[in-house]
Amino acid sequence: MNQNQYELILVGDGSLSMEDNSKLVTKFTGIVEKAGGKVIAKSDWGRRKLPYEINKKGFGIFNLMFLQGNGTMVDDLQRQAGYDDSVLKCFTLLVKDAKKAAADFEALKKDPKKNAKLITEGIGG
Amino acid sequence: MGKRKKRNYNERSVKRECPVIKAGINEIDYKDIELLKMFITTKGKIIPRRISGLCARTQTRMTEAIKRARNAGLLSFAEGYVSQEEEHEHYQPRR
Repeated sequence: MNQNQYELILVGDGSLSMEDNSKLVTKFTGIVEKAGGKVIAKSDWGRRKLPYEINKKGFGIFNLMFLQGNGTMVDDLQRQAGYDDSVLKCFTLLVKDAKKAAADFEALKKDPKKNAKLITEGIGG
Repeated sequence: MGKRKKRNYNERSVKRECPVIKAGINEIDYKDIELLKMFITTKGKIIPRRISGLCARTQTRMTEAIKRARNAGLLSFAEGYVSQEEEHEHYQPRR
């Protein structure tokens, strides 16, 4: 089967403890490995305030996973996310290079205003 | 019949450069909220190209990223950007 690289964004319930959240992530890594995929990188964005309520929840824990696998793996992930009540949002995106995407996200987490600054400086100067 | 206005060829419109390309940003990520925030109004609407000054390609990528961010729960559909500074304890759900 053709192996693609994906980015999975998983928004867990904000009322979950960090231990429960890590359990949720390990559950999803299990699903990936069962479907013949591989987890390239994992990242955590922490607890964030949601701009609109999802399932009457105001906060969500954002988890990002960079994966390698096929289409059936993605279908499995979406199905399992639908069954789980502690998952508020879940979707996958096709990326060209998962390692680069993971590195870019780590850089973004360190300096979130980097690109916005570049634009304001460009307009000002 | 009104007089036809003579076209003044000395007053040509100045071509503006796309601010995103000028800044050297190659890819627009949906997680880069600080960047996306610059191209939406306070009501959360996407600013049109004639005002934002983006080129056609960047505008399509920008709208794609903004819509993706809305669905991921990073941007609001109606209220624009929600700051993260507020403490969790003060949160009260809407009735």
